[in-house]
Amino acid sequence: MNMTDDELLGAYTDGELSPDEAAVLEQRLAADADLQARLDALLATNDVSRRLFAEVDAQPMPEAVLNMLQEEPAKPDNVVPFLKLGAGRLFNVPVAIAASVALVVSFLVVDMSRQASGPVSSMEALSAKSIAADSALHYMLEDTNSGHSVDLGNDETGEAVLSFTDVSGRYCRQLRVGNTQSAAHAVACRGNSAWQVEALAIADPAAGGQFQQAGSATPVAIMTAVDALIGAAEPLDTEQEKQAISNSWKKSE
Amino acid sequence: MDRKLNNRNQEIIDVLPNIRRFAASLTGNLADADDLLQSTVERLLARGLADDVAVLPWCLRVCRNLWIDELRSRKVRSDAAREPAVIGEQVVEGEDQVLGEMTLAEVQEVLRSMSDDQRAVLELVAVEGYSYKEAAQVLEVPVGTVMSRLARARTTLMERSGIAGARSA
Repeated sequence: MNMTDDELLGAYTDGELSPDEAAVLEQRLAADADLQARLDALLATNDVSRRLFAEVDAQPMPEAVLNMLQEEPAKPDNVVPFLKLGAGRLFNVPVAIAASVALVVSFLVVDMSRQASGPVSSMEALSAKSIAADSALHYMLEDTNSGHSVDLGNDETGEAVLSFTDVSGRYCRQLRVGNTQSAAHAVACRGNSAWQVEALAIADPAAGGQFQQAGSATPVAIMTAVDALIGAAEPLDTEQEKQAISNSWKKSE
Repeated sequence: MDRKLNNRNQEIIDVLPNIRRFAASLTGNLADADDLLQSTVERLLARGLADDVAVLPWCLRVCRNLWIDELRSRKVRSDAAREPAVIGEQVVEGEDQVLGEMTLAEVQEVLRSMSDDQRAVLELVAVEGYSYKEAAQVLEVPVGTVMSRLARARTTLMERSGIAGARSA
C-alpha cells in the first residue's frame, strides 16, 4: 500500500505498523525534526479528539433510551400460532354472536380525543391514522415475525399476531400492544411507506377490570375487521411472512 | 428470538456510551445524536442481535445504517435549511469549557469543518481505540479508505485547532 507520510505517521501512532515498518519510520524520525514535529502534532490530535467526544459523555444519557432497555423481558409464552383455516372468513364470527359479545366485552373503539398527555406511547400511536415511520411500533411491524413479542418502550410490549394480503392487495398485519394496565388490538395495512391503522380496539380498564383477560383474546371488532379485509384469502405462512419482511413489505411487481 | 434479545439488553446498556459517541460523530450534534441513539436501540430491540456477533460493532453498524437512511430521507425532504448545532452546544452557558487551548466555540467550529466520514473514523480509532480493520468493518469501507480519511481528519483537526506542526508532511 502506498501511504502518504501523514497516513504512515497515523498508522504508527495507532499501532498499525508492523515492527519492521515501525523501525524504518523510527530511523527517519530520528533524522528528520520536521517529521518528528508532525508526529507530535498527530499525537496531540488524539487528545483533542477524546476531549471533543468527552462533551458527549458529559451529557446525561436520555432516559427514554435507558427505559427501553430496562423493561422487564416480554413473556415468551402466550404466543398466538398461525391460524389454520378453511376457505372463507378467517375467524368466522357469526354476526349475531358478534353483536352480543361486543356488548359484553368492554372494548371501546378508540376515541382520539381521550389520549393521555405525556410521551407518545405505542398505544397512543395506534390511534393516529398512520403509524409514524420512526416509531417502535413501525419497526415492530416492519421487522418482526408474528408471534414474537417485542419491547416497545414506555412499559409496553407488542406483537404482530398474523399477516395477510387484503382484498385490495395491500399487506396487513393484526397486532396487539399492551402495558400493565391495558391492551390494544389493531389491524394495520401498509401503504407505500407507512402502516395505516384500519381497525383498533382498546380494552378499557375503567369498565370492570376485564382487560387482563382481554389482553390475550382477540376482540370481536378486530376479528370482524380482519374478516372483511382478508376476503377469501389465507394469512401468510411463516415463509411468506419472512419474505415480505425481507422485501420491506414492498409488493414485487 | 425475544428471549435472547432480552438477555442481551444489559450488553447493549454497557455499550450505550460508545454508540452515543459514534452517533454524535455521525450527526455532529448531540440532539440528533440522541435521536439516532434511540432509533438504534429501537431497531436493535425489534430485530435482535445474532448470537455469535460482537455486540458493539453490530450496534455501530445498525447506527450507521440508520443514519444513512436518515440522510437519504432528509435529502428527499430537501431539509437542507437547518444548520445542525454542534456537539457541546447544550453545555451550560458561562461554564468555561476549554479543550486544551481551544474554546468550546472553536471546538464546534472544528467539528463543523469535518465531514461526517472524517468524524466517524476519528471517533472509532482515536476515541474508541478500534483497529483500522475493525473501523473498516463498521464503516463498510476498505482499510485504505479508513487510513486516508483518518489522515484528512487529523490534518483538519491540526489546522483548525492550531496544533503546532500543521504543515503537510
